[in-house]
Amino acid sequence: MNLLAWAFLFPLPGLLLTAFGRSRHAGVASLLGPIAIAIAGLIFMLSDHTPILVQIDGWLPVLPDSAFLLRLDGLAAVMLVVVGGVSACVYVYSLSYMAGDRGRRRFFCLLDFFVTVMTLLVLAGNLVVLLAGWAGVGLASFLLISFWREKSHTLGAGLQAIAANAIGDAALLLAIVMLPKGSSDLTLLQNGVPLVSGGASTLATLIVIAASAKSAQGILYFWLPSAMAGPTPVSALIHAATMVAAGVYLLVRTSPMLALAPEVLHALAWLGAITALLSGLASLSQQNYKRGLAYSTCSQLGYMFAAIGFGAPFAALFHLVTHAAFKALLFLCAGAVIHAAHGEEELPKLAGMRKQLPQICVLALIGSLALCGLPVLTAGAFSKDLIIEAGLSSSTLPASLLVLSVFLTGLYTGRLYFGVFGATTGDEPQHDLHAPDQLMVRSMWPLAAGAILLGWAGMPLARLLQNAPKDLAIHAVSMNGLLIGALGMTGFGAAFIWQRATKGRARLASFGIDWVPGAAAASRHLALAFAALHNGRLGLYLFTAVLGVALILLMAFGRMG
Amino acid sequence: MDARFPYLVFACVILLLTALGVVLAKKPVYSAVSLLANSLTLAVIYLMLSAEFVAISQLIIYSGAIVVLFLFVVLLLPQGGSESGHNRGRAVAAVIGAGTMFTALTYALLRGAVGPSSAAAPIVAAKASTVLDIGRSLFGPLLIPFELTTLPMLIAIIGAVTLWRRQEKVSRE
Amino acid sequence: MIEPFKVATAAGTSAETLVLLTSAILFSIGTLGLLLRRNPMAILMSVELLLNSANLVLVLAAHKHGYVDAQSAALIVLVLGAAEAVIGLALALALFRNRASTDIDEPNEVQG
Repeated sequence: MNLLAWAFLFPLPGLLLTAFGRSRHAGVASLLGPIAIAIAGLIFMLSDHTPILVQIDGWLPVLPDSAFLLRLDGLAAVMLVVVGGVSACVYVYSLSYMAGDRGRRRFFCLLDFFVTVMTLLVLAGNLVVLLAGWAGVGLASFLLISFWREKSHTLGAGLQAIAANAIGDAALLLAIVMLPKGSSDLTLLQNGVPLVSGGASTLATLIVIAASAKSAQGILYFWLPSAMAGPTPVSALIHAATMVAAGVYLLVRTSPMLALAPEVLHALAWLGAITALLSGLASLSQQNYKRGLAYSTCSQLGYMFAAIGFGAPFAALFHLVTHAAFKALLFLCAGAVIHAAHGEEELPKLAGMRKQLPQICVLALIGSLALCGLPVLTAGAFSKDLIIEAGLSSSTLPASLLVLSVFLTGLYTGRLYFGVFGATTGDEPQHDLHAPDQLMVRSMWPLAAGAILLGWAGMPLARLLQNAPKDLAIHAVSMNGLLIGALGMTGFGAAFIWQRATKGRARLASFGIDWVPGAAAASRHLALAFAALHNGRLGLYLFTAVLGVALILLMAFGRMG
Repeated sequence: MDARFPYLVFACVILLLTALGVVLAKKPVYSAVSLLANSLTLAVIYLMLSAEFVAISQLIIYSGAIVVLFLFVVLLLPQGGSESGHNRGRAVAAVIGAGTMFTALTYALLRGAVGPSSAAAPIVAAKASTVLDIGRSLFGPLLIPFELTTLPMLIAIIGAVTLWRRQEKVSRE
Repeated sequence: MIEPFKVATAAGTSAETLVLLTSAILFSIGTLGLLLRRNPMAILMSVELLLNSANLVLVLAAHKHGYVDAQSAALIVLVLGAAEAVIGLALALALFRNRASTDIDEPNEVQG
């Protein structure tokens, strides 16, 4: 059984085969990795649920907590299944999507690396190991976002991800340093670390900052829409299973410790709710199909953050699982549409795909309805309902913002869906479509099944996680749930009318609080101010150096007396 | 008062005058010759301070090698590398810089060397140190710094050769 | 064998002060040359003056305290001075060859 805790090494054989193999179908071998990871998670779920621990002492002797600690428990197993399952679908999809790409071998190697580090992050038993996976995920996302090197803007988009990640890494590193010796073990974090008074809120704030950088929350949202520059399977992977899930996973892991700082939890609820609302609005103003979906991810992650803020980490995890299924599905559909339209991503030019891509149309409808939360029939309704009910019972104001965003969710999902699969606008070029092959479509059906059925997985999931609240009833159908679902469907319907009224050009005037260019300009001006000092005049350099030495002398001897 | 004190004063005055010669001479040739006189005077002062080995090394390395190297390079240069007239701002800045440095150094001397802190330091009877002593210290406590000096030496040699070869390539093209 | 100069006697403190002061002035003169001159050769020579003044203090310390290690340190400074002169002169020559000019303020293409 101990082998299961080493699941992060499972993609390694596939990686080697892909990298050095001579197969004409590069990447097929890589498929073994995610499947093995998902199976490892499933085996644990079917076993007796005793956590598996692997400890190797003296791994990094320089650190106070030097052990290499791996830990496979219920939470990690759930994440393994999500990561493995979604990645497997994305891999199969990529086999077709990247078929003609010259960098295909590199692409699959990078995907393998991505899955490996994400699995390491999930299986980490202490914060140091988690940080290794954490930084690896950031690096892998950079490499994949900038995968198409010859395209413009991909490097910038990747660097944005790196920049946001650097903030998160720094925060997590500070959190690790702050922890008292011997308590970076995640089990301790799960039971709440004994901390000096006031230490808890600082630590919790650092962890929240780290998580919001990975999960694109608050002002650190900026990299996620830009990350659309990467290949679409990567977007699906980043948005569903790996990158953004890491932040939520960290918060779920440390939620008992976060509970020691109620004011941070309250702020977290507000952060999530406001991000959910604003990114919902931002999605309505997007012209680009994938960017619209990206803001939708920000919004849904806001729900998960808010859930942790409400003190309901189980709801957050549940929404993470269902969201992984339907968001991956939506992205893969978007990829199929864009692939069919020869790389066209602008909404008005994609219209009228229903006749040409009937299967994709059905799949996207399933994903969209799950995102809006069609009650009973789709998974999204269950998890979203759980979050909102947890919110209504703890802090009403952020929860009501979330209710408002449910309508927005319906609206933006509908706008995207009817914009692509609705009636034609008449001005889209008559492209001869590049129909998706069967492999591509088949890889999406498991995700569609997940988007429909995963809602019923709530009860077994709660049983699997020992620390899930027992009293939190996971009802299939409740009055509130039906009302919320109805609200979402109203938004969906409203979007249909809106799109029809505007002939498929429904779009909010540009919206967004874009602080990033301002910050970039400010740092540029600062750099230029300092650059003026470096005017290449050696005489000036020498003069300042002399004055500096004199100053040091004066200060050193002044202090001596 | 030691009878040779006036000689020391004389040597110090010569040292400073030649240093001024190095700094203020219009032509680099004069500067280099002043530097030669400067280093010879310094060797004399070293002798007075009973540092014979350092004095000999100063003669061989400075006067024999470095200054000669300077002279060679000066002779290689067109017009001896002399510069066109000074500008006033630069002179003012130089005086300010040197003045600040002098103030800081004098302050440091007053506070550190001849202040109360040094009065407490035990004064050991001066004894002439032999080459043997220096060798013992260089290969004893100072072994690592001594060996590390080979690194800058190596870098200097490689750097000089590289720079020269690049020059040749450029001039051939 | 030369009779050691008695700086250690009560009257000798003036000799010690004299040498220290000389060293300080020598350093300041070196600084002056460093800032005043634009010819790289002259600047290198000024740097040699700075090294010399530091050496003078080292040798004085060795004399005053009978501490041989300070003399060894002075030797190490000598060696470093030689290395500095070699690389500095090579750079100066490179500068002359490339620009036919002897002004350190001229090469400023890499300014910000």
